[in-house]
Amino acid sequence: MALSYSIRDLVFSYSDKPALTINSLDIPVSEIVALVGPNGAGKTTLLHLLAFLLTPQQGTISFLGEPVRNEYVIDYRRKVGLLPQNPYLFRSSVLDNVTVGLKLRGISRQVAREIAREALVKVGMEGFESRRADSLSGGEAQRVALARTLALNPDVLLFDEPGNHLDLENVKRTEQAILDLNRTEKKTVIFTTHNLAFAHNLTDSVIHLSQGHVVPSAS
Amino acid sequence: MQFLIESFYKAILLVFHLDPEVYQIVWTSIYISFWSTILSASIGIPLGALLALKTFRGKSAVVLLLNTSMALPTVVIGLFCYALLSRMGPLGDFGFLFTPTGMIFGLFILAAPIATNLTVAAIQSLDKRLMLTCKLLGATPVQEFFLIVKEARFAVMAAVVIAFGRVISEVGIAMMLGGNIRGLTRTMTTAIALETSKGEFELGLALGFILMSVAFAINGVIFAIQRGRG
Repeated sequence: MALSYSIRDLVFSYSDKPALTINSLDIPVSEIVALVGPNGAGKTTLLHLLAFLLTPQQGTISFLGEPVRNEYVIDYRRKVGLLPQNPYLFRSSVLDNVTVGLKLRGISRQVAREIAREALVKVGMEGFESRRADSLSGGEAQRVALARTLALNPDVLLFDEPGNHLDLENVKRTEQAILDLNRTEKKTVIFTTHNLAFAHNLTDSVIHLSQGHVVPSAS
Repeated sequence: MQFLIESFYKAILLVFHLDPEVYQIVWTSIYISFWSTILSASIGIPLGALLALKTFRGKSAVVLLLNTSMALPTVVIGLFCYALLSRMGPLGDFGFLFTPTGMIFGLFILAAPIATNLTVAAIQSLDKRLMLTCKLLGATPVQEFFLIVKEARFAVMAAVVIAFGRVISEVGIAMMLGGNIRGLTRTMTTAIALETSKGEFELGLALGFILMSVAFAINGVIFAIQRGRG
């Protein structure tokens, strides 16, 4: 079974205060995985480790079958797309926001714009290309940030509390986007939530975290 | 009162009759201010960004030094640069004293801390999520630097304009390092000081009008930048 991530004997601490301890965790390719647990359980820390924004003090993470090496961290980050709870949009147009990651990868302006337009269609934001990002509502900004992540075509998609701060319509839309990404594009999707119903709507693969440890599922 | 009105009238004539000496002085001021601002922005913006984004030992001392250098009297900077550029000084062999290059050097020392400190403030006031977003998008450290400076562009542009305003209105450094040589290093401020001391109010007033127009234009640019942000 091909694995997106394989974690062994991982310890991560913030200033000597242990935040996450995981003995063994495997996440297969093309699976939807929910990380659930109360506030402070270590969900976002784990998500940031999986996005290569943090480096564990101990243990190993293997990504797509290869042990992670610090010197290639930017290459790994480019294969992962993380959508934060409250994403930041640049002070520019919607289209420029979606093209920025593509331009960082050396893709020409014209091609980047075409890819960005397609990504905006996927999230239902066509027609918003020339709008200034700071004039968008919270739900619209979330969708633009999702388009920005999708445009980069990452192997793994990470969502931090995707249902939070959204109205019912946008929660449904986000659920559908996650399912579509997994079913049609075979992406590995990992998301955090403290909403078990949201988690079970999308997947049976639920990882429970409590006080920085993976705990056996109650179900 | 009659004397003031006459001086005022003659000054306006000098400005609008395109007096060659007036325009030579204005050109020298703008040339020297432009290059010293460009130099200070070239050093100050990257340095300010690094100071705002990086943590290192002695950072507080560097910030304190930069803040202090913003409050230095210009004659002290002039004196320090004079010592460096004079024939006996370590840079004396270059022959920069009493040349526009020497003035640009001194005014660069004046403007660089302004550009640096205002860039630090501009970047520190940015949304903290920006740095995370740059990493999430897979930016290299250099790409991250440019994305961050681009996001702070309005405040950084204002910093550059403020630095230009400071150097074009400066007199102590221009006088000490330029020597107020007619046709070579005479600037608007040094000419105003000289002409006034000679009792030639007309030329001083004419240059004063132009200097105030430049100050007005600078404020107009800052205002336009601030509006552009909204």
